[in-house]
Amino acid sequence: MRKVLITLLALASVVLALRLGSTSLSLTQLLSGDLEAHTVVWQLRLPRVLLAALVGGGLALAGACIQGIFRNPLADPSLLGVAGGAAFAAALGIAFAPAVAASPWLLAGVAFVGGLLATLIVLSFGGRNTDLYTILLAGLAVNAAALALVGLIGVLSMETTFRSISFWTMGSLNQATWIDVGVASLILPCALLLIRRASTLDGLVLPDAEAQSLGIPVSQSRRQVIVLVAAITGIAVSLTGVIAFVGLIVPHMIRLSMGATHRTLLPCAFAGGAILIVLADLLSRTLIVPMEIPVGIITALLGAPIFVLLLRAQVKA
Amino acid sequence: MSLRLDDIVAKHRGVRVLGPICIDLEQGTWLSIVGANGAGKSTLLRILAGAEAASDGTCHFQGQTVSELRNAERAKRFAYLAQAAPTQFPFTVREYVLLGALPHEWSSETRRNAFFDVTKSMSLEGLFDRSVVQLSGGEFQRVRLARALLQIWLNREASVLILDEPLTSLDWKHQEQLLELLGQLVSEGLTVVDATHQFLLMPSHDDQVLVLSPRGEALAMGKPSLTITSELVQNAFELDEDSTFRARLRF
Repeated sequence: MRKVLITLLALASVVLALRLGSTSLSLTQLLSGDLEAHTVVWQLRLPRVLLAALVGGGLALAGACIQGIFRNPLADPSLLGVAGGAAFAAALGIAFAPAVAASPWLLAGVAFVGGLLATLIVLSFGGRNTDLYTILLAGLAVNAAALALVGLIGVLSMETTFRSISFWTMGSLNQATWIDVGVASLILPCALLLIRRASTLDGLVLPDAEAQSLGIPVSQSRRQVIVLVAAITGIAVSLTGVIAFVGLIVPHMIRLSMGATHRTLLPCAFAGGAILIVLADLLSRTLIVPMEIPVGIITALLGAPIFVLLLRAQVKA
Repeated sequence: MSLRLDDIVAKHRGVRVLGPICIDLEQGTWLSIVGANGAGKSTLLRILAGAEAASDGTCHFQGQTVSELRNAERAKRFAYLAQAAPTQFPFTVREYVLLGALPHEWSSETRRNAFFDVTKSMSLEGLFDRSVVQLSGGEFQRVRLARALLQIWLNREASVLILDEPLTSLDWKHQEQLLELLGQLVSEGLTVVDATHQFLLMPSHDDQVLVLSPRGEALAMGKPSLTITSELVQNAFELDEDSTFRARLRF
């Protein structure tokens, strides 16, 4: 029942985001063959809304998985270093390689590779047994160093370059195209592979030795989950920049309201993440028209108070 | 013999921390491992559970080498409970206990019946929909025990239940309840291996005891009433001559 409800909410938020914007469209206009509405929806809004839903859903689901395998509800995909690595690679490209800066495709590719490289560095610290705390601390260090370097490149570069670099650290869906949606759809098979591992993720909530005694190959499963999460986060960051907070708060909110088993948590987190980013992006483009506020700022401003309210409710319960 | 450990040795960074340990147990035996902190009790249990590889030696169970069993096969016959480990994820009691059914392909009816039997034996009725993060330490320990029990509940005569300090956090009533339940399961064919500091409770229930020295060597093994002497306890725990604990031990 709850899964149905959250799916309906996700669909409703998509419809709302398609209708509203600098030009508001009625439902009849959306459904009729009105040429202007058709152009606005198909060329501008639909790719943007779909990109928001895929990236938001992917990041939230990735967050739920990372929290599960680190047995820590405060973990976040950025802990793998993937977000920082992707942003750093993109900033390097923008500042020092004009060919990369000129091609959105190349830039996204460079960011993706940077994210994966950073994750590999973090994983190499964990050793063969993927020691959790070492990975967690190495991830924090790599991410912090990467974001600091992004800041440094930004400070040392010219005004226009600085602006495009700040896109990577704050996140934006401004440039969404159908090609972006195509690339983002690669998130779906990764998400499905993770959802198929729901019962393994449940078992990994137990201490390692107990999970092992349940027949779960702990290190191998953990590595597989990390690689899939890195792929999702890498794809997301390469397309939209770093959108903070989604991977942290959405799984937490879903756990508190719908339950913690991964069979429920993962699909609901995907829907919840999609709703959050679709609505946050709607606000980002409608609050101060014609200016756009980076969506990462909205998610943090929107998510933080909701998160605190939920925590308070939890403490009272 | 059913469960056999041949010269099990564990080394950490090249230094021997346990062994050599040799054990030969009939199915339906209860073995308690006793020793000081750091004597290697938990290491031995993890090796038995297949969660840690021995540096030397082999474990055999019912004619098979345990390290050669497939994960899924081992999980149906060896259940393991680590020392108290809190969780931050709000699984319900029902969801947490049912993790013990993961290795099995039970029908939903079999699963439901086993779940009700296990939770009844651990007095968890009425707590099914409570979140485990809201339970007291003792209640959560009973949930964890139920999870491990469920794993071997329907196959007890061909299984080993490995418990690391299972009495932790339990009040006296539930300690007694657990000891009685384990005694009954052992009489029905289950092999139980536990690590415990509560060995004064043992003579009433225990079949075998293995006493480890602080350096992880086997000091003695046998029936507790015949094995545990105040001198052995003094050596195992390095108690002083004038220890009040030693004075209280009357064997």
